[in-house]
Amino acid sequence: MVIHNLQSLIPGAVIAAFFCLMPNSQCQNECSQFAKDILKETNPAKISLLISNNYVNFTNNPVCFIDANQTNKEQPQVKALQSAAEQAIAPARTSLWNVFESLSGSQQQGSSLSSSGSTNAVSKPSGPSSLAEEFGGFNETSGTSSMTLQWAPGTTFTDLALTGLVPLCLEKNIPKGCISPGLLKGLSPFTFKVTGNTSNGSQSLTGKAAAPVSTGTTQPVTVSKGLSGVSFAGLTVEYSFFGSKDKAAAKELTDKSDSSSQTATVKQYLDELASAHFTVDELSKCDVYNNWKAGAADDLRKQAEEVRKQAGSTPEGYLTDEQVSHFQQTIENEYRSLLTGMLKSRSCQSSLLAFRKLFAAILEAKTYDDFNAQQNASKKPEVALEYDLNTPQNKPSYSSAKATLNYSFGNPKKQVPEPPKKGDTASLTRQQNDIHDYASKQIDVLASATKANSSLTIQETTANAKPKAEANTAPWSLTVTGTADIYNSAPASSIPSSSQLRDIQAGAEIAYLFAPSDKSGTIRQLIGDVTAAAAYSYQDQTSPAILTGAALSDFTGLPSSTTTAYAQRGVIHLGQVRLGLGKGGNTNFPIAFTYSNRTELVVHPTWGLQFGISYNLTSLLGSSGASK
Amino acid sequence: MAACKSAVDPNGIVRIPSASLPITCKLQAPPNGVSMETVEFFPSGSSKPTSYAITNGQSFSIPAMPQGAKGDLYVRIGGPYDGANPLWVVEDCDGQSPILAITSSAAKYASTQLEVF
Repeated sequence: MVIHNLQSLIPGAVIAAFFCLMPNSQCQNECSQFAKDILKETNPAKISLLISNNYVNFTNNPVCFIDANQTNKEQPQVKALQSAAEQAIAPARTSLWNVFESLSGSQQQGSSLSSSGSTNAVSKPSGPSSLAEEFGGFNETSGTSSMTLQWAPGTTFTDLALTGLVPLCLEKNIPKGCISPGLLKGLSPFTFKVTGNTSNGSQSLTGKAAAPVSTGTTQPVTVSKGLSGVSFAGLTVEYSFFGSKDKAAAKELTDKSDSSSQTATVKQYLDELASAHFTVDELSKCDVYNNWKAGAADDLRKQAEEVRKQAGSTPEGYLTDEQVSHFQQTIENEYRSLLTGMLKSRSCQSSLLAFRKLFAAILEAKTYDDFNAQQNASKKPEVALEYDLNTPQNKPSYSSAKATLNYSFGNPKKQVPEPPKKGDTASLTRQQNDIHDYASKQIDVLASATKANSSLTIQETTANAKPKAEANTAPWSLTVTGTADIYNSAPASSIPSSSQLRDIQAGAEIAYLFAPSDKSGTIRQLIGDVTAAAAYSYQDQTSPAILTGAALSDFTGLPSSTTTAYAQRGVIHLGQVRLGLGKGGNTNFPIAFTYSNRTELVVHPTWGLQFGISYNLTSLLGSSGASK
Repeated sequence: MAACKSAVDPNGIVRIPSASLPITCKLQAPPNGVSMETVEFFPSGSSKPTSYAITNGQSFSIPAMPQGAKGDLYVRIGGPYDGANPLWVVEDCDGQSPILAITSSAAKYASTQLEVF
């Protein structure tokens, strides 16, 4: 999956992406200067060395080679080069980001309070694309279960784009059918949820005596079931309008030329550039390069002599800008046709492995930036607005308007180190070494990837990423919500104190992420990341809870003509402690214990256990960062 | 100062007689603060380089080698090289015979082919 085609592998791609996209690119200057150097030189030995050392062996002076292949920006092939390096390392970076997000305190496991089987007393601002089945909904009078399908479109599309299933746009609508970075950033703050009841919370069996005249102590009956199957329970639209972690992720992963990370990246690249000499060996296996090399030096020397003749006997003094520019053009044209030929040749592919260190260097630099971007994003509180359409069983439907604030805090186990400066590679700190090793390991995995084992590759890159994300995630998170529930139609006027405003709610949750460390035992490692949370919710029922439909048949003494019943209204204080097992993984198991002074219908204290299981659907795209 | 022993052929290969080795090479008129950081020789067909000792950041010696020895000599520099003019590594001799040219201020290194005859 990494090795899409030759374009994404060749060394020029790496160099192009990080030299010539730099602000104030020095590409033009270096190529023009090089042309001038050759023309100015009069010593034949030096001319031979300049051409041999820096033109034929372009890995010694790669900037001119890249410049040549960057200037013709109309060629889609050339455009593809610009993002090839980014694409090559994208799966590793996406894995890291996804793990970060799945560990984030702003990500909800399971559904929100409005769902009938919810395990969460407090809503969080976002969540992954997932499927959750939950049992025991504490806001229900009797046990129920629900299934919630949650979709985070921004994350889904980002994964699609960065793993190459649907390409990320290089320019507007290029390539056709591509996903634009702007769309990703625009969609990222959205989360959609649809919830269905998977079991009935009220009495679901009815029946009648098969033999009404019988007086025996044992009676035959005809049993019929009430509601059955999955029924629609509600839907949620959530928009995180401030501090969206998903948006920060989409931005960091898709920004290129204007990224602030360029400097760090280029520094790293420069450090590793010296390693490029290994590519000479690899280039010797490239048939196109070898064919070109045979006559290239001689041809260029003759061209240079021709220009000098035109310029006169004292070349430096009489060389015109036009002559230099023309000679520069000659060099660039040669490099263009060389690259075009190399792109088509299979024998030139092995250059990839030789440039693996460069890819690793770029990934390493990007990893520093990713860590910093993630930590910067997590320092900002995330604020989201949510709309829920609720259609609870045996109750009138209502809408919820909710505001949610989440703030992650606390020092991660490790602070992200600054990228090493040029020449510091011998004295890296332990953390810098850690990131260096991480990048090398990721590149090894990516370099050996094929379409056939891509899902395995992702598992490996994710497994590499997870400990790094755990060590760099702020462990505490505080979530505060405020909600107003409004009936979708005005309740009957015969219900005393009834109003369209159903209730108002406020809640808070504090959570802590326990991540296993290197020293943790086998069982602790097996359990993995666990979130422990304590929550409190306050609900003021401004209107009495209303019961309708089949549930009324469970009540004794009601006239058969009764279609609506209502309970005593009041204030609900609800406390919850919850363990989120499998946090940061593809499969989560939230378990909660909840106590409240009453429910919407029952006026005496009640407690219950809720549990759920949710699966991160993003993993199906093959790039989830979550499973280990 | 001794006569120069090395010569450059039209293909840009530096040729040195075996009997003339070792020879000393140096940076020719380097800008202030520019010095050699690494000098390595990769014998043909080998990925294991031999590092040459650098004296005061400015010179190094190509040691004795048998006839027929070939390989690539890599020189990496550090310091404020701006690429405005090529930076030459030359044999330290009368005519300062050229050995290698560095032209990239980004790469700050170059390689040249050596052949001992």
